Amino acid sequence: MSEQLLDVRGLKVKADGKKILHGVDLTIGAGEVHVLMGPNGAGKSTLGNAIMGHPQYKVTDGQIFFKGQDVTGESVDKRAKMGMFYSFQNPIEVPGVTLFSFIRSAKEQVSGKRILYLQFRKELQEKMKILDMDPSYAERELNVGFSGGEKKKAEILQLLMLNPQFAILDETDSGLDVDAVRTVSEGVREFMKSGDKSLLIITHATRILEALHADKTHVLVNGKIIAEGDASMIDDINENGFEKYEQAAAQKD
Amino acid sequence: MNQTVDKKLDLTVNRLPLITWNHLHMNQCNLSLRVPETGAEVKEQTWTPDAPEGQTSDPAVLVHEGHMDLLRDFSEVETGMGADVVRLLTAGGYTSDVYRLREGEGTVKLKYALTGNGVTANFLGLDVKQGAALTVIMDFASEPAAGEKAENSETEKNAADTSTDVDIIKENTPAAAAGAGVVLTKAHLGKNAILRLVQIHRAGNDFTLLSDTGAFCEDGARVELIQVVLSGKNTLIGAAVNLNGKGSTFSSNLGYRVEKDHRLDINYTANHFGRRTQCDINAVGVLRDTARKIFRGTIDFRNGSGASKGNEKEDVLLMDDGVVNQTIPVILCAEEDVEGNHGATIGELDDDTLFYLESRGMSEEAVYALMERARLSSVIRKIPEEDTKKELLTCIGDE
Repeated sequence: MSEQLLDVRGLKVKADGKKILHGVDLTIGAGEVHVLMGPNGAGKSTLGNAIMGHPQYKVTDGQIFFKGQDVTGESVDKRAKMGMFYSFQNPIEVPGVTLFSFIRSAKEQVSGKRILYLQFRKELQEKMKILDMDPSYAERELNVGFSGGEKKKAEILQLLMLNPQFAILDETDSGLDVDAVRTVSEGVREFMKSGDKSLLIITHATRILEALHADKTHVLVNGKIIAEGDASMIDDINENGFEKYEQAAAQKD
Repeated sequence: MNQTVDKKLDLTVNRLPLITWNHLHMNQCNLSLRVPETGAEVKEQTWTPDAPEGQTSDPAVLVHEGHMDLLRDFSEVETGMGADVVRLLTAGGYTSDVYRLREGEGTVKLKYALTGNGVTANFLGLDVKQGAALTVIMDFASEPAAGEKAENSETEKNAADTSTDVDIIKENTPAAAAGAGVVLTKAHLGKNAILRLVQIHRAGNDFTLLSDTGAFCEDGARVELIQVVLSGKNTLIGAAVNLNGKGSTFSSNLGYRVEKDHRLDINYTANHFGRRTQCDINAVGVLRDTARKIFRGTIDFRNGSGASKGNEKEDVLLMDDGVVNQTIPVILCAEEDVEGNHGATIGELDDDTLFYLESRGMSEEAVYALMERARLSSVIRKIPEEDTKKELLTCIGDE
């Protein structure tokens, strides 16, 4: 088994006073691709947000370890600096801040060093080319007026530029047309090229998975992981839905 | 001791054209200042194209002239702060510079040194003749006062019922007290003339700066005003543009950062007299710590200004709970066929935005710095003179 990167133990999470996750265990090794599936409202995005440390998602029990270190109480930026990345389902619009200056500032913060303007611009243009992005987007305000596809490309652009160890892709392929999914998948493949990066892919659709080999699939229902398996589970869920797994879980209870 | 040294004047500046409730303390700014003895040193003063030696009256060049009589010259030009600034200057001494551009394009760069404990006053007159285009960069900077707190300085709060409060340094301890600087800028634009006026305000932590500007526009003339405020204990800005000629326009972009216990008091007025005139007033800024800011913006459509348009917009980010932000947009109409719009966005960073930015590895402090830089940068990048633009972008860490 590969070296353990993320280890979530008995995680219980509350948001807006409501219990959403009821003891989730999840382990992801270096270089692995995990897929998290589940019906609407199962708690998939809550798990992603909680792993990343969103202050509105309160961990009431359990722990999150990253690279062997307990990060349950760590700040969001500290987690990012350690190598975590969260690709948002609905990226936030930030007026007044250009995509260029945002990524440059973030990269400087993560690396802890000043990055030369020309060197950064060259790298950014290379990554934008992979994602078939018009270079003029670099000077546009972050996500402001971007289409759904452009926002997702901007997320993957940040992934490529910041180059973290582990990324959570939250519904990255939802709402995209076939061409956009292909381009975004190309970006994710580029990220995984080094072989030591890990992914947790939260998805309803599975189009993004056509370009990636999944090592493990988890099914989350009502805040609990009720089934786990290999990549073949994805096809099974696509054909038959979650019912079978929900019934099995109910019998177990 | 010179008699003028001890003479103080009570001033009312930045007054709204129509006053509102007194208890809001937004109508005007009252302050007391000792009358100035002389002007601030202009450390750098360059202009292009220069007049050939001995030909200062060459009609094709930019002409630099000396002292003007404020009560006579440029008397038709109103300014944003009002008549009290002229009253202050003429009560004491001031330095004056006048530039006249007869045709073609010209650039003037002036760097005013805001130092010392006294009160200084400078007048700048700009006469842009028909069809000419003048760019003027005015940099008001305290050196090395920024960051240094004078010992034993006392402050007095001058708080009349209808005023905002401005702390003015008492002059009874001149060795320790910090000073004040007044800069009055008046411009006259001929037919189709263009004035691009850039003013950079970076007074020191103990310094009070009054920056008052006015322009008079004939047919088709255009004023493009860019103002940046980076520091200063008390910064007062007034700007009034009279759009007298038909089709004349005024656009202004203000970017400000106010922090610590500093105060910024602004009064913009666009007076539309001519037909088909247009103004666009935009302000973006951030307030930190216990900073206070008041923004008054008036678009006044006078009789005869039919088919004119005016827009004003402010976007301010409040970064700390202790800040005080006041915005008062006013649109006055004496004509029916006009269009006036105003909008203000006053906000704090919400949890989701903060989470998004922090999830990329930025600390809360870095996020705030980024937001601040972005706002200032959006205004600085509009500066038409490359060296100044580059210097300011470096100054805010965006280059």
